[in-house]
Parts: sequence; C-alpha cells; structure tokens
Amino acid sequence: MSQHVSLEDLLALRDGRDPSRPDAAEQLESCSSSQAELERLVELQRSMSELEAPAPPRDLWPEVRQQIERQQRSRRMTQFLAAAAGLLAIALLAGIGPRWNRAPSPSVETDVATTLIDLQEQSQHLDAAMSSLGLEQRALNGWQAETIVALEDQLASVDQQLSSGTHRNEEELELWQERLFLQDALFRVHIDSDGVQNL
Amino acid sequence: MTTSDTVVLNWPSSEPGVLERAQRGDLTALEALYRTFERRIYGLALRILGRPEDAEEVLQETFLEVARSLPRYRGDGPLWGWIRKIAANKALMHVRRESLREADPLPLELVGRDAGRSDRLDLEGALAKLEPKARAVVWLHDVEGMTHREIAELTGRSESFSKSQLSRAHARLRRLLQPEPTRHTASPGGLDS
Repeated sequence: MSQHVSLEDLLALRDGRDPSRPDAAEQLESCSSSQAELERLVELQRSMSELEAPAPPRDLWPEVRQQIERQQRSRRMTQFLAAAAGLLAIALLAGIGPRWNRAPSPSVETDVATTLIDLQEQSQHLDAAMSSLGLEQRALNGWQAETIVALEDQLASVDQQLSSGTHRNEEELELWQERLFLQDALFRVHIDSDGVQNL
Repeated sequence: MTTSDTVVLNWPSSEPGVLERAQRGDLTALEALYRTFERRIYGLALRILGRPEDAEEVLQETFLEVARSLPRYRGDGPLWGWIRKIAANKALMHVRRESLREADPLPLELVGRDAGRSDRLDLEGALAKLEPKARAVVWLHDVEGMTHREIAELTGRSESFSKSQLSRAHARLRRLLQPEPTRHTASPGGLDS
C-alpha cells in the first residue's frame, strides 16, 4: 500500500527543512501523487511571490513627516528639560540617595539579563516613589504641565516599543535605560517645581 | 525578482550616506527611505489585513517606529528584514486588536490592477478567503521568506503552531483553487491513499 506524504512534510521538503517523518523523502520518490502535489506547492509559492505589490492609494508622506517632526520636537524638548532638571536637582537628591541615581552601565555589566532585571527593579522603585508623591493634590503651572506631558509622551512611546516584544536583549536594555532616564526626569520635575520654573 | 525588489533588498548600498543621515533624523533622507519601502510595507500589510484603510494605518505606524528606532539599527542584517519585522508586528497587532470582524475579502480592484489572467485573480480571491492569521503566516513564510521561528516570535506562539497554520492554510488554498476532487487527499497530518 502506498502512502501520500503529508502536506506538512511536503512543505518541509519544499523549504529544505527536516520532515516530521524521516522516510518522507523516500515516500515522495515512490508516490507520483505526492510529487505532483509538491510541484503544485512550489508553483503556488512562485505565483504568490509574483503578485504585484499594490501601491498605497494616496501619498501618506506629508502626514508621516508631520508626525516625525512632532516626535523630534518632543524628543529634543524632553532631552533638554531632563538634562536641565537633572542638574538642578542633583543637590536636592543627594541627600535622598535613591537607588536610581546610580545609572546602570552595560559596559561594566557583563550579564545583560542581570542588568535588565536590575533596571526593571529600579523602574518599579521609581513607579512606587512617584505614587507616594500624591501628585493629584499638586497644583502645576503651565510650564510644568507641558514638561510632564512631553515626558509622559516619551514614556508611552518607550512602553509601546517594549510591549512589541520584538527586541533583542541589547535593544531591550537600551529601552529600559531610556525608560528609567525618563522616569527619573519626570520624578525630578515633580519634586523640583521651583527649579523647573526658573529654567 | 523585479527591479524595485532589487532596489529594496540592496538599499541603502545604492544610496550611500542616506541611512546615516536618516539615523540622525534628516527628513530628506527619511523621505528617501519612506519612498523606497512604502510600497513593500503597504503591500505586506494589505496582504495580511485585507483592508486598504488598515494597511494605510500600518504603513504610518511602521514608518513612525522606523524613524524613532533607526538610531538603534546597527546594520547587522538587511534593512528590509528589519523594517519588515516591524511592519509584520504592526499588522499582527491589528489582527489581534480587531479580530477582523468577518473574513474581509481583499478588494480585488486594488490588488489586481494588473491582473489580466484569471488564475491570478483566483489566487488573489483564495488568499482573501483565508482567515487573517492563516493568511499572515502564509504570506510571511512563503512570500516574505520568514522562518517559522521568526513567525513564532512575532505571533507569540510556538514554531509548531506556525507550521500547523501554514499546513492548514495550504490545505484550504488547495480546496479553494481546485474545487473539483483532487487525487492527492492527504490531510495536513497525512492520510493513506
């Protein structure tokens, strides 16, 4: 009795992978029906590859460009504000001595996974510290509110990239460092309203 | 392979310096990047999602993330491979988010602009009738050349899941493209004749 090669094994043979049945290749040699099916699969793949890539119905570049410019402005503002707020808050924070003041450096950390865990823990500490500030009872001036919105936008963007889950360890590490940096800046802006107003 | 495919796959070797400028946020360079890849990104999204408006969203979301993450691209693989992963991820997020109401048929008047031959239209129609996840696996594996491992990473499922989706999708495509009884009756798991 002859046996057809399963579709999954035919696909494996087509793609040069190991089939689930070790004798699938031998089976294929003795089964003309399976051979025809394999040819059909090859032809179908070729036909799909030759389908023309449709063009977008309209030019989206002007909208994309606008969003990129907004993104760039927000990033520049965030970097400037975070750096300035950081400088102003150094003396204030020196007495507090929080763990997140110690910037993690992957160059001295040989184990990326350990560093990642450390960054995530520090991020949790910062989240907890932010929650303890009682932010809802604070009055913010326009400048502070704008700064906080810009930092939170950046944080949301980093979170979105982290949630996509398609990054390599090193990329994830950089994202967590960026997250921690932004959290730190946000924390400083919240606790250092006088400094921010004087920028 | 078309000339446009060759440009996409070889980019940026055909335009030296553009990638570096794009990484620094230069808008002219970013536009050059966008113009090179817009059709491939849109095409991939449309093949997976079936609806032009969803594909447009994916194109925008993909390129924004490309612009944001480009400084982190280290050139350790083809740029299209890197962008394709982002685009596929965005398209799959749409599939997950919406569970795509019904099996949305691909608008043949859009994708079949050059389709003079009925077998091409048949293929477009058959692909359109696949369930979105299955269509995504077939397209990413058979056309985009992604491995089952890469698809598993993107979908958050196992390699076996990807293999079985591909096999089931091909079984369905076979039925759709050959409605009359076929000689080869093996199921995805294999059957005696």
